[in-house]
Amino acid sequence: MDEQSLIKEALAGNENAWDELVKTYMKSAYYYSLKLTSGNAHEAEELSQDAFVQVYKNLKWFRSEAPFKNWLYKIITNLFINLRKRSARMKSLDSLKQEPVGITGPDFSGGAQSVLSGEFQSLVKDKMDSLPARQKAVLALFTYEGLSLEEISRTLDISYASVKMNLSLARKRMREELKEYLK
Amino acid sequence: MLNCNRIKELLESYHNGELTDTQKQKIETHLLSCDNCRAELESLKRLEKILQGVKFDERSDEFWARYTGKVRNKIADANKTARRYRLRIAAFAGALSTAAAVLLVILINSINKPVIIHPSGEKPVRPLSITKTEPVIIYSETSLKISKLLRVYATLKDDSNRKDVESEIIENIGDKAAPYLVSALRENIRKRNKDYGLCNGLIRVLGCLKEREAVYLIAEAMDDEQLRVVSVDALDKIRSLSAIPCLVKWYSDTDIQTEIVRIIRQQGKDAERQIVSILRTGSPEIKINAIKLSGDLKIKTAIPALAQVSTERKMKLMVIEALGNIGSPEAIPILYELAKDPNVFGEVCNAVKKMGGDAIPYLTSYFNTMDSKSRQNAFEMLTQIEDKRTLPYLISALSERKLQTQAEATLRKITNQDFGTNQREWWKWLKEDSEQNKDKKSGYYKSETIVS
Repeated sequence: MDEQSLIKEALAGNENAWDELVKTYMKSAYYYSLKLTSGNAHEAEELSQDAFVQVYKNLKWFRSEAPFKNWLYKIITNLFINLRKRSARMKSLDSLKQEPVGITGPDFSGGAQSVLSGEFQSLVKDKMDSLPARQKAVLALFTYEGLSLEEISRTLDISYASVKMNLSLARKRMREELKEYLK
Repeated sequence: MLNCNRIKELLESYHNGELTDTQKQKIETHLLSCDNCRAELESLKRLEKILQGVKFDERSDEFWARYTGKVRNKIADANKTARRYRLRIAAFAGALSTAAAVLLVILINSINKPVIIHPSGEKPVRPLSITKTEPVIIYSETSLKISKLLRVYATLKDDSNRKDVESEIIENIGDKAAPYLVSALRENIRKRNKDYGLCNGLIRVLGCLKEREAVYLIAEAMDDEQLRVVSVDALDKIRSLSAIPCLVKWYSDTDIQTEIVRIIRQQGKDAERQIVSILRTGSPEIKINAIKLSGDLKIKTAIPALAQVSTERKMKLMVIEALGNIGSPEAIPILYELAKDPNVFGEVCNAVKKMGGDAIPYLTSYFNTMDSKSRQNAFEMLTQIEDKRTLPYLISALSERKLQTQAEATLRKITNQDFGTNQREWWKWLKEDSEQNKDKKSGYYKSETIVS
């Protein structure tokens, strides 16, 4: 059954069609959430499943012009932004975190994909975690989900200029945070 | 011809693949002759490579097999909550703008004067003045009423509504509600399948009521990760010293560390005394957090207790770090003792470094009474401070064979001068420099020697 038929069937109350819809998109939803939560598996699971609850409640409002997956990304992003707003006051904790030292950076002499040490990967995830929610969403959609700026603009329902600005700010901050490894 | 600034503005668009062929060509021509812009582009590419290289853990087939079931359960829970919510709110529909909030106010007002109003007239009815438009069912059982009240309370999304309700509860029910709330919380936090909305609401309201009887229960609730943040908020409001051990216990949870530090700081010396007492008598697990807190809160009165704890092998490193964070030179004698263990000597040096110049008199006062090995240790700690006030000691040490190399290197580092091991030259330079910097702190240059 194709996407449209699955949605139609699910709306008509066919539970198997709903399960099928979840199965089709659960990995995309989970792994996108995992990038937003900077690798926190528990948070990602909760976030992606909460997104499916929202999808279930609002399926009747889904407009088929855009891909279903992008709609799902939008719901996940909005849930994530709300989640971060709620826990924003906890963010001052970062000041207590100690900056790790002596981490081996990447070796850029190799091929297209550099192999990063586990410690360095954790460092990058930590730095990504400190990005504001929307910047992180734009960066994740562009870098990991392969969406173009135009598609991100439509998915998140924000202007093209805003997508560009968020992406640029995210990169600027990441470059600043990782400057010693980019030389 | 585009200049560098303009190119740099366009580089990111170039990297994103947004430019037209003509624009691309212009950039590429510029890149051939401009190292700066090439480096900028390279940095962008490297960041991309790093981000692409980050791996996120894959999940097992078992995880995916259970996923749809979990989503179904969540939907069922959401439906259940929504249904209950609708039933409670239905009676108010259309009559009031914030139906849920008002239901709570009505419930609150009726706590001590049970009133039953029923649309079908099955039960005795005494109309409430607040509900002229719609009849409402009010339960006469106070505890049941409070429990229902909190269920609705937990579903409120708007913070301002919540705050209104919280102040209503405090003003209109006050302490009378507390025993029911405590008993409801006791019953609910021990359930396997907790109603988190209810537990959250109970803890929040008990916090608002500053109910001291609830401290131990809220402390128990902190064992559940999902209730930890709300529990810390409540303990913050209650401000009971009984909560300190629990806050210390969860200090390792980075999500609430800042809050815990703030709460303990607010309680001042009494809270500090509790932490010191935990250091002396607590279980190893909680003691570790108490050590860290002593350092983070710079509790000077904890130094003797830390000295006692430092004899336990596993705690040694944490104690050294805490002593460094406290930053009080009074800890120097303890650090001297700890420095005898070569495995932790580096950490001791770091701790002394954190203390800075204030540690110098404490470090040097022991020199003449020490054996050779201890003096060597003490001297190495002194070199960590890198303060001009250590210069006379360093110059004097040039005549001692074992200390000579280290002294020479540190002198070079602090002064940017190099007179090798020639003490006369160093003293001469020191004298001149001292005259040029007469206004500096007292004791800047002394002629004492550390060589006995």
